[in-house]
Amino acid sequence: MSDNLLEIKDLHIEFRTFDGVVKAINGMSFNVPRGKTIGLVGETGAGKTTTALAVMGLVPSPPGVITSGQILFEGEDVLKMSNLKLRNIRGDKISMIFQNPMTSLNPVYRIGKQMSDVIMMHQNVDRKTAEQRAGDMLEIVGIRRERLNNYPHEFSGGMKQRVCIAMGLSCNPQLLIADEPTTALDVTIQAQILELMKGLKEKYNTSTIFITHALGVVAEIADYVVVAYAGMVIEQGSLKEIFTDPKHPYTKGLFACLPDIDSESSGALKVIPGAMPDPMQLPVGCKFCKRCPEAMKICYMKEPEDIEIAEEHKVRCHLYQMGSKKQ
Amino acid sequence: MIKYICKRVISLLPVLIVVSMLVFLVVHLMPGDPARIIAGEMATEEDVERIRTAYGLDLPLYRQYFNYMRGVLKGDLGTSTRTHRAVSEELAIRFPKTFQLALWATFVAAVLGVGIGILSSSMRYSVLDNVVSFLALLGLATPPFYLGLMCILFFCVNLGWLPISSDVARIALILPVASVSARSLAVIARMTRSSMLEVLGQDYIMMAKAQGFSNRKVVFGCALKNAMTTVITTIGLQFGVLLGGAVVTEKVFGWPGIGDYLVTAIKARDFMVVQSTVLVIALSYVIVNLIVDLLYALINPKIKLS
Repeated sequence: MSDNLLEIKDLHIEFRTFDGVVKAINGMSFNVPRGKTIGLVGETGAGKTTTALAVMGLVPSPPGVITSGQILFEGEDVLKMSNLKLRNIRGDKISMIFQNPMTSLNPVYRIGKQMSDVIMMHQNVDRKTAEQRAGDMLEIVGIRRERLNNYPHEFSGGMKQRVCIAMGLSCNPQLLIADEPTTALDVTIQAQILELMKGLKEKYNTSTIFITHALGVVAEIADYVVVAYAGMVIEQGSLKEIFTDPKHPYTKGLFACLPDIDSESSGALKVIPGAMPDPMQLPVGCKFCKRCPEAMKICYMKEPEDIEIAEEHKVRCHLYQMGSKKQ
Repeated sequence: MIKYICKRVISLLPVLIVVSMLVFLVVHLMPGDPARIIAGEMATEEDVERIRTAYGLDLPLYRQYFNYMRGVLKGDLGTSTRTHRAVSEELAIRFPKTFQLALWATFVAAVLGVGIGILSSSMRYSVLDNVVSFLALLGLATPPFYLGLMCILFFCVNLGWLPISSDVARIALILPVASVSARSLAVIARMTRSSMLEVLGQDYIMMAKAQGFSNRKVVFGCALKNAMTTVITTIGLQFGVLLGGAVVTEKVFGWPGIGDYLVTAIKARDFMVVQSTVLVIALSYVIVNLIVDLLYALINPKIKLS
């Protein structure tokens, strides 16, 4: 068995709607090594959440259809698993934390019940043991165990996200998918949650896919960075590689967009002009070509392939193709 | 919780007072001079005047209202001008009949409505869902008395399966309950469906799925209680409506409830009966609403705090 816990290989997902076929994921491929954290970065609509849902086997269908590809979890294809098997994996071996903690908890049940329900289902223990475990998990995320008796509306947003994290980790998952877990929170709470997740990661050695559009957050928490654009990975590598030596014009653009507090110029924030291509009418060549400052003729005609720039650094761009402009 | 109940009950008092005033006023807006009606067609002017004074009908309206309410608070709902029987006695016999019909109809409508609603929401856009939506619309659009008449025509006259009207046998309940509950069933099924669909789209449902709960668990364990908050309200309101609203249907089936009583009284301009019966219907509606509110507080944990 490889040392990758999860391998996503050439995943294609489309949504067949009345208006047409939306090609959300177009050949997404990346690996999650054991015990490492992947920062999956990209703007809205890049297919981050859809990829995550696909890993859980939860792409809403209809209209979602997984047209091709493989998602190997511990060497076994998630896409081919039976419903029952998937259900046993969900919440147990793979768990997911959602973007909006305010709405992720069921408002009519005490959180103790919600947490222990999950533990009871996956660990085959009785209510009392499960409650015990739920209480332990709450304490790990820094909430008093008496709060098990509270309803979700009695918690603040940051606390709710802690509860979600506690729930997500309560069955010792091997893979944690965190879908923008800090986006809905304010900055101080964000820092707390990140700190908490970093601590937990070291403690439990859980592999994590951390989905975000904030590069600052990625720098905090990730070991590897995967940059997604229009449903595919355009650049991936170790945190250091990507942050010190971004290759793809899109990644470079993303970094250029970060406001620099040190610089004297008080000008407007930088942006990457244009918008993500319409997933119903994707361009033939590189999906980024229309916004790319360095676009060449070939970019409009042929889709680039993955090019290994360095060890642990791949980029999908014609600029680095053999024969064209050298690095 | 007890504090909450007390608060709710106290807040009902002004509602009841206003309701009693409105009922009183509306009844007095009915065309016709009550004194003349009581006196009968052959009465002389003097007779009419005598009756007017005897019944206190010559007093200003607010005095009449206070006199009436004083009686009501003592349990005296007045006397029928037609049969000369006490309204409270008559209602004591008839209200349980209506209550029985409304309770059964609500029960049937709630059980079937919620069941169908859940089924239809979990099979969204399927043939079944479309059929249900169509039938629900039909049920909403069909007046219950018309449905009752058609049921009688079909099941009693054409097929001869059921007795047309009699309140002796339990079997006689079937048609009245069916025709009265059809509309409520439609309302409840539609409400359940839309409220389930809304809940099933929530983040915590996706979360529950991501935690590995089976579809059945997600629907019944996670979604249903959330959806029920709105559905309970609807069921309660339907019960309230049925308590007073089966008026015409009761007439169709000859069901000896308050609806039948009320229709007869309206035709005969028996104003005391109309006034008191409407008051009792309004009162039961208010009480049902109170119970619904309390149930709602039981289901929705957010309410207890406020």
